[in-house]
Amino acid sequence: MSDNPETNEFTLDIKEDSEIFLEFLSEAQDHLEESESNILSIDEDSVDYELINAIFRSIHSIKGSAGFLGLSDMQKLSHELETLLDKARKGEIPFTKKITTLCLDSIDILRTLRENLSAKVDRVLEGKDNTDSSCEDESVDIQPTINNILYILNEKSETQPQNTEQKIEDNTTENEHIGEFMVNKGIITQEQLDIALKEKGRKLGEILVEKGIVSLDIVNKAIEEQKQSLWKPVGEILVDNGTVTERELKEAIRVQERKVGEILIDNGATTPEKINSALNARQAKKGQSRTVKVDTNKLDNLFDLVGELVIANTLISGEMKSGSNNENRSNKNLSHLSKITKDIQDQVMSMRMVSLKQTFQKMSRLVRDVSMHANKEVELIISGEDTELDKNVIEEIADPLVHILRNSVDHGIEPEEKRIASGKTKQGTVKLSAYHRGGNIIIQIQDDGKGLQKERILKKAIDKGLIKEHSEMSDNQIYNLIFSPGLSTAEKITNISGRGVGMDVVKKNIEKLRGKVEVISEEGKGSTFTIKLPLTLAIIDGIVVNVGSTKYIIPTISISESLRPKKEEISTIKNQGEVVNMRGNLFPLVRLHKLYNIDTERTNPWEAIVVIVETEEGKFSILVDELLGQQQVVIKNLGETFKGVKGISGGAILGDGKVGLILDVSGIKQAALAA
Amino acid sequence: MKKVLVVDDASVVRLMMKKVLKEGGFEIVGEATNGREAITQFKELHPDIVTMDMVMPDADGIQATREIVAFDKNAKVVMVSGIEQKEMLMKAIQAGASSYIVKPFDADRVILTLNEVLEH
Repeated sequence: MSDNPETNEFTLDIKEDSEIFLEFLSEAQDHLEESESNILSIDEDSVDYELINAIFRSIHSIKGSAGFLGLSDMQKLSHELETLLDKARKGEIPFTKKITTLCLDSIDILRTLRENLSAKVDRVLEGKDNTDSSCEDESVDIQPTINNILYILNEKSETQPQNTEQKIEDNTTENEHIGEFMVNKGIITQEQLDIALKEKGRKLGEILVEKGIVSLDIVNKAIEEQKQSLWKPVGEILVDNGTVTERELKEAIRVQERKVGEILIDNGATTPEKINSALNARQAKKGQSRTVKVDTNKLDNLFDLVGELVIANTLISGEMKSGSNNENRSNKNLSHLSKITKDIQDQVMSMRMVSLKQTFQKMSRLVRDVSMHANKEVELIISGEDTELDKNVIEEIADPLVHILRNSVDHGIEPEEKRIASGKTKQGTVKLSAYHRGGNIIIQIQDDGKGLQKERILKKAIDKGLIKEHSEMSDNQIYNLIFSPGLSTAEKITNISGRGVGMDVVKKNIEKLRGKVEVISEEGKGSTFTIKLPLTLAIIDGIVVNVGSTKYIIPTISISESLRPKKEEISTIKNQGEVVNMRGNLFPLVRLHKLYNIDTERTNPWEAIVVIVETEEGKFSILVDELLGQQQVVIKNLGETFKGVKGISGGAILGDGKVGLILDVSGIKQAALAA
Repeated sequence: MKKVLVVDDASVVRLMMKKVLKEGGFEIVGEATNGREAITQFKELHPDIVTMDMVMPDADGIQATREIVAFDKNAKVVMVSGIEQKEMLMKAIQAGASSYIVKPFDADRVILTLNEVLEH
């Protein structure tokens, strides 16, 4: 039931009226996000009707616009949702948890429909054939959700069991796609997928019959009854007439809700790792949004600055033409020019900045879903959501945050009984905050759960050979071992946080953004994850160094110190090569001139400079000729030709107009080991 | 050329309306995204006619119509609303609206309605 031109006539042409479609996409996104956040802030016990009103207006607006654009699925669903909200805002039906969940479900579907439209608009604007078979729209079935809404609208009594808010038969499509994706990649066979899909498509009744809980007759009767009761879920009917207990129903729903991936794993067709990499690969295919909303004030400022730039240009070129030799004035004009340049740089940078609001909003939804699933009461306290970060960083930070938060709720926060037993409040608390510190943004996730278990981490790390037995380590060093590959301490993998992705991937992703992540923890009191991120990916602080006539830039964030060693501090160790002995610590020495084959006269470390850098595998030192100074550089991509060069992450134009190469320190270590 | 003020909180609808009106030979003198803005703009711009959305934040279409008609009893306001709000349309007429258009509208219908209202 996707929006294709055959089933619903497009009254507008995407190509001709692209402006209207793009406007709709952006407006619908705003409405959906605002509505989601509004729904999440409704407290079912004391309902704020103005919030429901706002959601109503947003959905109404989507409906109206979708009608014009001929998006019938979107229009239908938002119409039903609007009706539901209309009754709720007038107080005709109580705003129950069930409605909250239904609203969130509907918003998810509307969002998928919007994404499909967005992909379609992209395709048309890029001039691709609309019938291109490679286009992977997520097909969406709106009917189950509409049935659920109709059911609530027609419901008379309010004495329903709580668990009916479980979705009964939607949420299929995403997983069908992952299945196809894996078949195409040759990870699983079509046959394996078919079996899994068949298992997945099972009706609740079938599962109940198979488990021997009810007979086929009873299910059939319940289905009959369902037809008369406006799509009341079968499970609910069975619970109501006492044939099935709520617990049995829950269990059956769990079986039914298994994702294709889980079934494939259970059947031994594949491994969690493979599913996960397929999920990631598929995720990477999804396009990221290409537009940024910019405050008009910022644009106006930029415009003014460009005006000033033109004036400065005129002044300087006039001066050069007249050949006057007034050094004073030239200097003044030049310094004016560099000030404008700096201002323009700042202004342009600030346009790439986006607040964390949307990301944090997604997290509050996530915590709600995960805690509901894990049957825990968890409050998420958010602060600093107005903090701004580069758009690219924001897009990349969501995944690591999701992972850490899931872990906090799933493994960090204890079950209710345990919390009460240890004298804590019944409700767990997770704090998500963001703030500036130095030139960085800090994002913190703090939970008041059981904390990390030092002994267990240690044991596991020793078992895995990550550390030696009896190695002396501080508590913090031990806790931070959780970021090492292969060290996932949760004893049982739950379907929430255990999908084969470890904290090592989180760390890797954050380091890709040139950030850092650390954890501190206290057993019984909770854990705090701290993520440190650069404000932008486009500019870094670096130390410019030279080797012979070549200049390199080492990112300041990876430098721990630099010095000129004494002759006796350099030694050679068997199998390790050269090392620098710094206050009793030995750091392997990488000679940059050797690595990149550069002619230089300073080959003796005690006549040159050693820069000690930090990587995830520990510290090592790099031998360079001299330190030339500190500079902020704009990172330039070196293109395909240099892609294979290890240890170089990009280039930058330096103050003298020459190109400097930006070093990637972990790459250097690897290159040196390989050499 | 007759001057129109277009009021709707959805920019898609405003874009559509503007497109239709331009093709029909009207001049769009202003746009408002809520009732409050609509009232202020009406007082400033003195349009010949207003197309008014019903459901909007910050004073809805009915409230805005009521205030506009109170300010200028000859003001011409055409209500633009979804089909399910017919009961509301009665309220709109009571508030002083001259006519109404049902969303999603077609171009001819809009031009026809506006011209009719302006001729009266």
